[in-house]
Parts: sequence; structure tokens; C-alpha cells
Amino acid sequence: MSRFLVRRILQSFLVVFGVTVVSYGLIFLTGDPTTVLVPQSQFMTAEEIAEVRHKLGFDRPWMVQYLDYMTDVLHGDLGRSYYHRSPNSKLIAEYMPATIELGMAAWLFGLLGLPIGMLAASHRGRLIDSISMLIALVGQAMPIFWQGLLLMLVFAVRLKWLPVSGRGNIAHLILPAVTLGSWPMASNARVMRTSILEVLGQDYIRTARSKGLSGASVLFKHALKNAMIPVITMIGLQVGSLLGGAVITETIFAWPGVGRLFIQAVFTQDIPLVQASVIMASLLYVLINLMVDLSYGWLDPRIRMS
Amino acid sequence: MREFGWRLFHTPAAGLALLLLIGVMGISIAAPQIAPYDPTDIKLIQRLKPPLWVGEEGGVPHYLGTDSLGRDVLSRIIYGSRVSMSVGFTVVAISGTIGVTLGLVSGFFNGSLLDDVLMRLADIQLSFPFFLIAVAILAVLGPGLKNLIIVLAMWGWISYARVVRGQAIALRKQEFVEASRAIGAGPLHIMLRHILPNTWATTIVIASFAVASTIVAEAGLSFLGLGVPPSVPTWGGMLSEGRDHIALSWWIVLFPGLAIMATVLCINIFGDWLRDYLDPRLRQR
Repeated sequence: MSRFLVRRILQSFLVVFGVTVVSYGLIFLTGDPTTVLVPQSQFMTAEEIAEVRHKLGFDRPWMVQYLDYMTDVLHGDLGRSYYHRSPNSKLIAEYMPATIELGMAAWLFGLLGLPIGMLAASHRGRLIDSISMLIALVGQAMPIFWQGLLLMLVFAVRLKWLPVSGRGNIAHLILPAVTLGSWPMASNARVMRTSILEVLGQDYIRTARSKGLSGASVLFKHALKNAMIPVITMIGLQVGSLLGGAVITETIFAWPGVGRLFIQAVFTQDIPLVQASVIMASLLYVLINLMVDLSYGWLDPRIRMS
Repeated sequence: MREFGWRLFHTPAAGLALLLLIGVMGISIAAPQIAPYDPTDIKLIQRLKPPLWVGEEGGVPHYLGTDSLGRDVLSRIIYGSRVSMSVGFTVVAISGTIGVTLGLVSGFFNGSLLDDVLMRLADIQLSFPFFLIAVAILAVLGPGLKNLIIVLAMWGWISYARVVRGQAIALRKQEFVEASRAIGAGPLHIMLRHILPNTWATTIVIASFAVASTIVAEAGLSFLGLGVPPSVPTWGGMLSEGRDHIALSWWIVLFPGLAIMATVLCINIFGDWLRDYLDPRLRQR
């Protein structure tokens, strides 16, 4: 178990390292970081550009620049945003709670998929099964930005039941959370159903039934725990899609979170903030995946033993 | 081939899906002949007209209405299919080629440094939210068709590589490979003539699903404004415009999204069927 732990943690370090390299390397993609970071450089002479380059430290070897950047990052300094004129770490910390709120709400909504999957599995082949799986199929096929717009159109614009955008009370949270959480919910429902059906075909379930245990008892006490294993892995990994989806959802509903901050930074060419956001988001993603993997090892004794 | 047709005919959903897909591809190729109007023709006097609106001059009605600049929505959707189809297939072709090649090499030389390095690279890339990196890269490189295709292709190579690698590892232990080696065949020959043909089936299935996810990814990036230039009609771009006018004109939001979803659903349905068809274990004799 501890070997598994050590390997996973090492791998996470490698990934974070890779992300920082890619993030920092972004400014070198077009060759000269000076032209990327200083938009006015198109109006400057070659000497002026060289001077700015020296001042900003871009004429140093790449390794040195990277190490310099990383030392700052490890001290909590993620650079300064050009557009907002304040430290990136402060900006991200300011907008993070909103994203976490949205993410949690969406994730919780996604959990609704579990009972739906269970329902479908236990009534396999009947109408409930077909209907729920159809909803799940459509939910997975629908692009998230379209779904958000449709929900906004129906519930906010036409029916006027919910506010169109922004963050405020619970009412503001509903549409974005449902939009962001639909894909996880559909996934959860489908995987749960498949997993339960697979478990129900096993011998030990047949034993339980032949012992005379009721359907509900069989389902909950024996099948569920084993069926949950692949589902839990999926639930943990949903953070990734939530992160990407949050960017789009926050943009549609003008939700003041890190996702929208990130997109604004992209459009205002605020590269330091783009870099900082990518690093923070990836760090979060890697951490959560690490925790999911570790908990997975704890939950499934077979993995622990290997 | 005949069996393919027979089975397809007997699974109406998949057959229908394939027909619709061929229809979409046909539409994208024949767009200039089919579209009733010029998709970039700006006519402010007829902006935001609802579906089935006919101009004063008569002529063909705007079946799906007009957008905020007076352009015919139906024509824009037809031309939008060109971007989606071309990006979808190009990206899959590129990432598929790269992925299968790397997978073959990696699997054939299983255990070597090359194999380890490639798989580590794959793990690392899978371990972070590529969507964010893709957006960031497009932010620096600038939007545009070429950059979009490059970024999307970089995303997808792993699925092919992993699967093909697994198959290569299993296949190279088979007798026919050993026999080949015994008569002096080099690694390249074995990879190309013996292992690769056996991986086609799975590669095709992966590729078909990849086309769907690429289309959605392209639409998403276009929606955010990071795809092709705004003058080129794309389904994602139309949705982005529709967002600005959502209160007045529901048709700009509904129809492009419907196009995306219909295409993706058809690909998924057909892909599911294809996977079942190509999996010999599932066939009933």
C-alpha cells in the first residue's frame, strides 16, 4: 500500500512540474516572450525592444527564468495581472469561493444520477429504465454551452422563474449548477446502472437471493457496496470535467468565479494571469485526483493488497 | 461487406444514424449549391427575423430566421457544417496517425526506454485538465483554424496510442509474429504487415467517437471566441451570438445547438453499433 502511495505522490509531483513547465513555456511559444507580454512592442524600435527584454529578464537562459518563476510561485507569488493591476494570487483567492460554490452544487446535483441509475438497474428493461437512460444519453450528448443557453432561455427569459445571470441567493445558483452538473449526472446514472447490473449477475447475489433475502436487502446490503467502486472512481475524476465546464458555465451565466476570470484574462491578453490560473487549476485537479486514487486504494481491499 | 449491410439494416437506429451522418457530410460538401442565401451577406434591415419570415422581395423564406446581422440562419448552419466536419476529420486523421504510430512502436518495443517515456508522457498529459491548457495555448498563439487543429490534435493522440500499444504487446507474442521473425522479417515489416492490420477495428471505433468529441470541443472553443475568425460561420460561434440576443430571438440559440447535438448523437449511435459489430465476442452465430 505504501509503495502505491509513494508512486502516486511522485507521479503527482511530476504532473505538477510538467504543468508549470507548460504554463511558463506558453510565453515562449511564439519565440520571443517580449512581443507576447508587451503589446506595445510592435511600435518600438529594435533597441527599445532589446532594452525592455533585458529589463524584464527575458535575455537570460530559459532554465534561469523558469527557476526564478518557480521560486516566486513557491513563495506564493504568482505574478501580477496586467489588466487588474493586482497580484494574481489575490485575484484567484478572491474569485475561488464562487467557483467552489458552483462546483460543489454541480457535483451534488450530479450525485442525483446515482439513485436514477439504481432505479434503472432494478427495473431493467421496463419503461423507467428506458426513459432514464434516454435522458442520460441526451444529457451526455448535449454540449454544455447549448444546454446552459437553453435552460436560460426557458427558465429565465421565458418563464422568468429564475434570474438570468450573476451570483446572489440560491436562485442564482440553480441554473448554473444544473448546467454544469448535467453531464456528471448522466454519466453517474449510466455507470451506476451498468455497474449494478454487472454485480447483480454475480454468484454471491444469487446466493443471497436463494437464502431468501428480499430484493431491497440484496440491493442495498450486498450489491451496492461493490457496485460503487467504479462509480466512486468516476465521481472523483469528474472534477476535471467540472473545471473545464466551469469555465464555460461561468461565462454563460456571468458567474464571478475563477473560470470567468480565466477567460477574461485570455481575451485581455493578460498572460501572467492566464499562467497563474492554469497552474492553480491544474494543482487543484491533480490534488483531487490524487485523493481519489488514494481513497480508491483504501476502499477496494484488492488494490491494497497488490 | 454484405454482412455489414445486413446487420446495419436490421439495427434501424444505427442505420438511420449513418444515413443522417452521410447527409450531413453531403451537405457540408454541397453547401454552396444547397444554401438558399449567402451566409456572410449582412443585411441589417432584416436582422433578428423569426423563422419562416419572407422578405419584401419574396423569394425563398428564411426557414430558420435571421441573426443579429440579418444573415440567414439556415445557410449559416449549412456552411457551419463545413467547419465542424473538416475540423473533426482532420484532427482525427492527424491524432489518429500519431497515436497509432506511437502506440505501435511503444507496444512493439515494450519495456524499452522509449515505451516508458511515451507512457509517462501520456499519463502526465491525461493528468491535467487539457481544456484549460488548450485555451491558454490558443490565447498565446492566437485563434485560427490551423492553431485550433494543432491544439485539438495534441489532445487526442493518447486514446489510440494506449489501445494500440496494448494490442501490439499481446500480438507480438503470437506465433505468426514469431514465424515472421524466424524468416528474418525486420521490426518495421512486422509492425506494418502483421500487427497494424489487426488494430484497425478498434482504431476505427476510437476514431468515430473522437470525431464527435472533436466537434463538440471545436464548438466550445468557437463559442468562447477562440476558434476560427468570427466571419466564418460555425455552430459554436452562432451560439455565442445567440447568447447576446437570447431575449429576442430564440431561434439563433436553438438551431445551431440542435445541429451539434444531432450530429454528435448520430456519431455516438453509429459508433456504438460499429463497436458491437467489430467485436467478435459479441456476435451471435
